[in-house]
Amino acid sequence: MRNAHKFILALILALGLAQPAWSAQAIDGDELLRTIDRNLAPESYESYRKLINIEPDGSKREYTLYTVKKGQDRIASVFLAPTSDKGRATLRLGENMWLHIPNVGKPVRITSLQSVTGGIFNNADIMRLDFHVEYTVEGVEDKSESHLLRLKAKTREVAYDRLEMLVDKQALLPTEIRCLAASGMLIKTLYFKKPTDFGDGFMRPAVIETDSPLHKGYKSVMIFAKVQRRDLPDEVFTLNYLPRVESLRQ
Amino acid sequence: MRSAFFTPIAKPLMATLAALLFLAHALCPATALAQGAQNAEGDEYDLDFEIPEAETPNPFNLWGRVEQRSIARFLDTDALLYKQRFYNEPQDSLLADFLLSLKPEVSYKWTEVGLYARPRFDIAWSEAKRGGTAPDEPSEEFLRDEEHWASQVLLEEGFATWRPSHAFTLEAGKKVLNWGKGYAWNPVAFVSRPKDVDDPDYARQGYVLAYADYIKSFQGPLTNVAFTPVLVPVDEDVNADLADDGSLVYAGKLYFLLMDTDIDLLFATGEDYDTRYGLDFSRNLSSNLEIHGEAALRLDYDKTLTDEQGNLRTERYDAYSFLLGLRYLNAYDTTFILEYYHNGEGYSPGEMDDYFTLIENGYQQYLETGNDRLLKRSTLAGQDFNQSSVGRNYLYFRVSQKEPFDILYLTPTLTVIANLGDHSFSINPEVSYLIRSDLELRTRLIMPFGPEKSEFGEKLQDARTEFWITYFF
Repeated sequence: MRNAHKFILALILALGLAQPAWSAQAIDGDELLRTIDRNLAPESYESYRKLINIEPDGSKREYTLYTVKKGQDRIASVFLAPTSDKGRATLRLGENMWLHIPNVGKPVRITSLQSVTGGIFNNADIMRLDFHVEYTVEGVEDKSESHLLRLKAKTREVAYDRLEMLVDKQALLPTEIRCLAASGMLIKTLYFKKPTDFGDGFMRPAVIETDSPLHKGYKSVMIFAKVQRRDLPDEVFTLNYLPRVESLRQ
Repeated sequence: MRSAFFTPIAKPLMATLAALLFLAHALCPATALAQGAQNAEGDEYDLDFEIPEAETPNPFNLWGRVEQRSIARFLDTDALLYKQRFYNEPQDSLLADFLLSLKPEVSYKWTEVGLYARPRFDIAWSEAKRGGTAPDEPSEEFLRDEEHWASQVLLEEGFATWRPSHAFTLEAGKKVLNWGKGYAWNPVAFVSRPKDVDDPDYARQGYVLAYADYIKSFQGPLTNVAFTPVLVPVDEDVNADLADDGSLVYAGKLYFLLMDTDIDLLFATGEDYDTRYGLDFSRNLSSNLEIHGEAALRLDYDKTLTDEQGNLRTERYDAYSFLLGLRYLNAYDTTFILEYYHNGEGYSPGEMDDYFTLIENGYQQYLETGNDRLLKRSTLAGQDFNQSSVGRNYLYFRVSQKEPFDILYLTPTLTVIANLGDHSFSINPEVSYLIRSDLELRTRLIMPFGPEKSEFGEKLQDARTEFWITYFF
């Protein structure tokens, strides 16, 4: 009998300990990530964004971009302000990225780790693809009102090797993402704030704020406006069309 | 005759600017700190959530820039090019130039039709006697009779666009076609004016032309194809430096994005115009390393040569040029650009030596007899030999550090341009700082080095300093 009690106790303990992990495993992480992507933006859309770089002394520099995206890996943006950057346009097709500077030269290839605006946001942040395109879910943990998704980059071409994404269980939208290098070093943290209804029942955070231990005291903020579904032909997402992206504005 | 008023002012001013040149780096962070003292708001900050640009776009837009450029030239009075130009008009060793340019840009869009223009208004004062510039039409020169002043209005770009669909565009007017993948040189840019290798990013004026652009996208390894046929008319005042008067140049570019590689096939041909074929490519090898290249063939190229007595002759051959380059970004946001350029139309060290010996002989003759006949012959040859990048083989190396010491919008750059044939080179340090979103300061120094009778060794200047202020509106 003593052995039977021990067995039952061990079983209860084992089940008790295993439950959180088992519950988490019941969630399909990749499916959850796809849902988060769709909650952040339609697959094809246009939007306006303001990027604000804030220096430790409080001084700010602002940029306004018009952006169109189609499918999983096509995104193009053009700077509308300030005038020193007006007309600069970027294109991303998968891992290929180009920058066109008006009046100066032909579009040049750029990389995800560069930044066309300066500040903490790099090109991978500004021309972000859907998360599920670049990352696989290695694990999902239950954190009370949030899920913690541990993401691993699918290739070495991706800007951050790992992401730790805290996701609100109700809204299924990220509230915080820690971006890590392959070494485990924290590169930056993105904070998703100010949930906003953009129309047609589409609600997402209107503000993404970031800071980085590599740039102490600096912050960068991205504000979204007029995020709306729009279908565009593939030809818009080409090098030849890049200097004309601004003409898509309606 | 020298300007009695400006010379005494220009010298100390230029000397001051030269001294300030390398202090700019130190001044920039100081400026940032000064702003911080005024604007410090602690950890809290206010955000303006309004994005006025997101409103319905205005069909009419006007923007642009004003540039003020101050230049100090430290002349090398022993250089052969100095002797060629100033043999009968000796100059002081320090010359100043000031240039003020207004470059408005205006655009108008109405359904499928768009208009764009970028005129340029220049006014310049130069301590040295100015030569004529004769820009292409449409343009107008002013102050023609002034020795030190010059002014002009010209159209850098101005064209009309018809875009009936996203896949098709037709444009006509004056336009810069940026063909090629190289940063410093573009041997395949058949219908563009050459870049200034000392400043490849500086905007150029275009050619008057008409072109169509048809784009097609696919799924699979071949992602995009685009075809761009071009027509370029040439007459006495329009596109005059491109071909003989009365020519019509046909050109075209076929672009592929194939297996993540940009590839262009290019051609240009026409009456009284050397037919050219070209190929270029660009590809990211990794997330921080890009490789690019260009190759061009110019059929029946007539190269002008001179002997030591100034007898000009031409040599006809098919000129093959190519460029291979890398762009690398390291973990510290340092960008490196390295390019090798073989200029098939360029001069060998021996051919350059003949030209420089001609100047040397001409100057000696002038000193001994007062006869400047040989020097004038050398000036005629100089129309070809004094151009930029006239050698055969070059190496270009540029390293720029983005925002060092966490100073946002500051970019120091160092460029080295080497003529591998005669072992001469130029070192160009530069600092740019976007002090506000509408105000940029830029300063640079250009220092050529090289042995006697080499391209950079015989440059007119020992050094040139420049200080730019650009205001964007």
